[in-house]
Amino acid sequence: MTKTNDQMPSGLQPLHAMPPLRKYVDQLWQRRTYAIRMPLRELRARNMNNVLGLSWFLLNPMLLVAVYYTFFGLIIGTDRGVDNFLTFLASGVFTYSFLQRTMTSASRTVVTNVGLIRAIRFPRALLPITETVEQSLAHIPVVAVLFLVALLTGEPVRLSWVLMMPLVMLQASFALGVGFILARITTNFRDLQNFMPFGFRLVFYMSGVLYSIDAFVADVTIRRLFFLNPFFDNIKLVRFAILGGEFPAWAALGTVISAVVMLPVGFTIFRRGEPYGRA
Amino acid sequence: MTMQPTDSNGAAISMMVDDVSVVYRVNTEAKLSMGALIKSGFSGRSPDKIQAVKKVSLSIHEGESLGIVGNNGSGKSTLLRVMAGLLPPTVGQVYANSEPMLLGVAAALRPGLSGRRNIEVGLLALAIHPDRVEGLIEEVADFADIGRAINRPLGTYSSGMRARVHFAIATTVRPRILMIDEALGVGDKHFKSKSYARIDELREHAGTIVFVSHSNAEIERVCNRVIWLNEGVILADGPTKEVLDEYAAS
Ligand SMILES: Nc1ncnc2c1ncn2[C@@H]1O[C@H](COP(=O)(O)OP(=O)(O)O)[C@@H](O)[C@H]1O
Ligand SMILES: [Mg+2]
Repeated sequence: MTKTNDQMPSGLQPLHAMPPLRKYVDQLWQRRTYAIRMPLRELRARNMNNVLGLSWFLLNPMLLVAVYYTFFGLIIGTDRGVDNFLTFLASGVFTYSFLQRTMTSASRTVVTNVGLIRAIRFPRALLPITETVEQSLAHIPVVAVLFLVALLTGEPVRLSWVLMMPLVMLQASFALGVGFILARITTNFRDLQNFMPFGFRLVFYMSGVLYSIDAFVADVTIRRLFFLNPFFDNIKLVRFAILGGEFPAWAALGTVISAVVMLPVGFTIFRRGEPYGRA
Repeated sequence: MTMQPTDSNGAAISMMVDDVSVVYRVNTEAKLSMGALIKSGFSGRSPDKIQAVKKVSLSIHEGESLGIVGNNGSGKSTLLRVMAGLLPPTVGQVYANSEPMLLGVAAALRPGLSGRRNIEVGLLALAIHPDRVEGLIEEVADFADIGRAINRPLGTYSSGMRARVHFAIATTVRPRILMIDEALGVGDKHFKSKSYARIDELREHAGTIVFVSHSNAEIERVCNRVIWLNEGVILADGPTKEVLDEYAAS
């Protein structure tokens, strides 16, 4: 005889009661293998379905970089004040894409997993978490491509490249936190999914993905305001890790704070929205 | 020490449904008149409420096998989902002495993944310990008995094959409370008799079965007690034969 791990004692327990935080987290922890294995299975299955398979995870950001490089670097000339514009651009585009894709797909998980939600009881926070793990795993080869781009454009191998590992984890944490909040809002207000692309577009332009803030924004006070944007901070820090230069202390602070604050805040907001899967 | 609630003949209560009501909020298409359109804020819909379950209370005991009959739309599936802890009731509460498992005419869990991988992630989502998952996958696959199809994407399965996989997952973990919503109908003769044997086995181990079916033969085969649900209200509750006769006469 097998039993599920969280079977209740012999007494009667209410089924429709929000488990206390401790128990909710325990229930998530019991399912940690799901959060690892599910993404591996999904990525593999997706690999079998497309002609180009998993390589889309690589091709997509690379094509974006090629397009931006042509128009902004070569034609409009936003490469002002940047030595290695291609690597500068790739760092920004890859990091921004990872953040946006993780937030967007995590926010949809409660809607896209109705099959599972209608069939099995489990803490629903497992879904955005699992999606974030999947996106993070898919981001690993993208980071490898970034190293390659750096090498091909004449950058030396830097010790600071090892920072990419913790940086991606901080990015994932920030993105999951935001994804939790967007997921909660989406369940009550489906239209959010239609607004999100516009919001992300705005953030994209405010994050200095395509141009160097230092070269284009003259006013020091305004330049400082950019550091309030965690997307900008994350990108700035990745550029430091890849390209070297002066350590951006403010960006590092913004990156760490956004990751450490958004995750628990997002988790709490999401959990308050339980139970999901109402009619 | 927690107190074990029992009834007069000694079997412990495994589930208690306490004054449960469910109201669905739905948007119905608004009439296509200017007035209606303005009233709906140009969304072309008007909100409506459907009371699917009305003040239902009942207790079920260990070893008991409860059937639910009633016309289409009488609230059977809704009540079952509330009893399984999957759909929060608008009012009321459900108490259970162990985690219930619902077996419905379910949509594919993960249509892109193979049957085998669905079994794996299904078991993991149920918090089965990873050490046991590998062995259980084989047990589930054996019971589902769909041959090499087990390695094909779940989305390519016939509804019968999908039902076999679901039934195999849901019962291999040996739930103490199993709820079945019209899920046996799609299986073939051979699989049905295997399923009955599984259900009997669960019940003999002090399990509780709640069973929704439109087949009197199935209900008589499985249940020793039946409730008749009509427009979300319990009209009759008693031994299988009596209630089925009453329902047939309606
Ligand atoms: N997801 C839903 N949203 C809105 N109304 C629903 C939903 N599911 C069921 N209903 C309504 O609730 C009532 C009971 O449905 P259901 O529980 O499926 O009955 P049964 O299983 O007995 O056929 C019906 O009137 C049905 O239209
Ligand atoms: Mg039904």
